[in-house]
Amino acid sequence: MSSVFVFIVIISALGIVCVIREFRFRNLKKSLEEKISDIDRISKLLTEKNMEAGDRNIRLQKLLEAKTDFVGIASHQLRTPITEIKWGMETLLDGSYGEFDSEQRARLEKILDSTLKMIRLIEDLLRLVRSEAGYKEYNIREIDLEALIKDVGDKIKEGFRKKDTELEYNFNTGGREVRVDEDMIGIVVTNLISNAFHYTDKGKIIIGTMIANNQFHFEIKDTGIGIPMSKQEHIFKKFQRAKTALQMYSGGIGLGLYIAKNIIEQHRGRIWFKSEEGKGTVFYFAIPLF
Amino acid sequence: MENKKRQILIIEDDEFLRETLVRKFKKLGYRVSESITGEDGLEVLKTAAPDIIILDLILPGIDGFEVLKKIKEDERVLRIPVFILSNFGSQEDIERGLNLGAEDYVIKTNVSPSDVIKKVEDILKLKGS
Repeated sequence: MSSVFVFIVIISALGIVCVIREFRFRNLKKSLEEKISDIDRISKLLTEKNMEAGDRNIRLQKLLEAKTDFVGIASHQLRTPITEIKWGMETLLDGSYGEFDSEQRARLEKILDSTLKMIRLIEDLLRLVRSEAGYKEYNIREIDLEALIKDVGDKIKEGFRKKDTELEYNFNTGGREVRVDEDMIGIVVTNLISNAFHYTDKGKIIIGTMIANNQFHFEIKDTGIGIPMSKQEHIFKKFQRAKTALQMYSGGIGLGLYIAKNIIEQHRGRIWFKSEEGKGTVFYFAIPLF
Repeated sequence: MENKKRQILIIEDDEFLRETLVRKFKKLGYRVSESITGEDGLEVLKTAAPDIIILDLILPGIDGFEVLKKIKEDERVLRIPVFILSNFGSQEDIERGLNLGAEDYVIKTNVSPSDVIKKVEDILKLKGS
């Protein structure tokens, strides 16, 4: 009797264990199914996000291309109407449409002067956009940088022939070819040389070049007004110009050095300066030759 | 005085700029032909033989580069100097123009109409015509 009882108890216990296990198994299965559906959902979400990121990449790429196109189109679209104003004023002033009295002439000359200022501002802004376009957008080729520097220097000196400022070249690279974007480096060189002339009423500007540490080194030393100590740390920022400089010259909007820094850095180089107020400034840049 | 015999073709779609140049060249005694499109410019060249061509790059139909290419492919007119006058002015554009055989490339905003005349006269002097 007791053995039958024990048997029943054992069977019942086994039954209970089975029921409990079955119950736990079901629970496990259920939670596994839930997990799988979670994973499914996440994986779907990830795929969607991935596609979105891909789309966003394509959109960004298009935007970048559009920015580069924009510069080309904007420069053309902005230059066209302003050329009409400029040519219109110039032909009025050169007598193509009859003579004007001196008062009328003075007014026309003022309008032409403002138009020329406007052209310089537009060119500055276009250069800014181009300089920010990134290295990939640069048109890198090997060029004789000294020849470019001399070309730009001679032209700027000619423009400032009324000033009592000498320009001297001290070239030491023997016409070494350097891999750069000619337009962009031309902008840097133009900025640095015309700054030197703007801020040097009389004295001397010396432009030097050399190769050192596998880099092309450029320096331009002037005997001009110098940069006040308090302004020195801001000189490469956007829209910066020292007050004294502003009083002397207001031809631009203070983008030149910011643009120059952008361009030199895009060429993996660096730009810096030393300056003493009242004595003069030296600007340097170095570009790796690789 | 010798300008009386000189003939110039101006391919430029901007009416104001075209008229400005036409007026100036006519005053100097040039015979001036004008075209608003590249296609029309090439058409004019079929019957006329100007001493020089002023060519804009952005034109309503085919662009100036295309016009220049076609001029340089045509034995009959390929020796006529082409002077590009455009507001497109990247180094790339300038080189492309000069490589295609343009005599000079000038950005409009950088010059006055009188500068354009001077440049044209310089080219003609150089070419000895």
